[in-house]
Amino acid sequence: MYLATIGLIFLPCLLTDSLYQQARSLFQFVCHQFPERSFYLNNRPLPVCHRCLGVYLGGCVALLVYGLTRRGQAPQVGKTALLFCLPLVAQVALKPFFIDFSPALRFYSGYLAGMFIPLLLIEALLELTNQRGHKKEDHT
Amino acid sequence: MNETRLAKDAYVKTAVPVGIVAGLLSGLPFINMLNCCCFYYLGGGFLAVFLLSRRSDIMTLVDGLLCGVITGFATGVVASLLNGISLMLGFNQGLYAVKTMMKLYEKIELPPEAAVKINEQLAEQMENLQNMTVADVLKNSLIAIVSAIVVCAIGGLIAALIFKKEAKPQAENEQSGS
Repeated sequence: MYLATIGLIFLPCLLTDSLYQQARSLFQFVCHQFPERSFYLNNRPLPVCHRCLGVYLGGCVALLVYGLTRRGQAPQVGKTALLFCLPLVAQVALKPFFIDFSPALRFYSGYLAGMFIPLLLIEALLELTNQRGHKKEDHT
Repeated sequence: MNETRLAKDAYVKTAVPVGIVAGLLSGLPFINMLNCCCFYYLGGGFLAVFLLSRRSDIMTLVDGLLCGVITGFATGVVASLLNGISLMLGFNQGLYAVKTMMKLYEKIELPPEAAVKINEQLAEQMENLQNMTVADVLKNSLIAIVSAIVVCAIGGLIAALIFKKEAKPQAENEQSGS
């Protein structure tokens, strides 16, 4: 799913205008899409901003690393993982004081925050399937 | 084993009111401009799970996920309904946003090639918004609901990670009860 999202961000920029517009409308509810805050590909701003791109790419990398190293084991995300979100939270909190950051910093803050989200989601989903399994066992 | 002991009722009672408020905030014209980086969606999911954790003795990631999903559904539905109502009243929020963006870009220096492309795209977007059909509105509503569900679920999961409460072992429960 993450790879599909990455594909939806990059590919339409290289394809027709209508496909590009479709991709933009798909992400319009989750990203402001300001062109001056987006990377460019083929002279077109990507359909998501620097920070959102970081979130998706970070999630993708985390999933790849998890898949390669801890296959079959449930991830255990602790509260310390929230530290990864601190740069992003700090950037957003400083926004009202007109303190702005470079595109690279915005991208990396999103990248760090995005890394733990899919792992948290996998942990919750595995917990849910375990609960369902136990309930079925109880019924039988 | 961490078992969810919360009744379905508890999720709904907490998630739906929070979802309605978040939906109102993200669907009302002008107020929804503060919904930058999905702030209302993330905040809605987070708040619902925080409130749920205060009501119950147990809070797991599954509780956070389920509560977030319900909050997201309520948020998405309310926001889409409001968007539909404002369209029927003749106020196209998307069109207003594009017009505002066009005004903003007149003041910002962009590479000439990119500026031309952006203007072309905004003009096309404006045309599409002016000629929106019922099918387009429904499609947009569906995307909005799915987005709200995903983002609220993430907010709920983060809250569940912070306010996690493990179930007490049976013996300990009995001792504290006696």
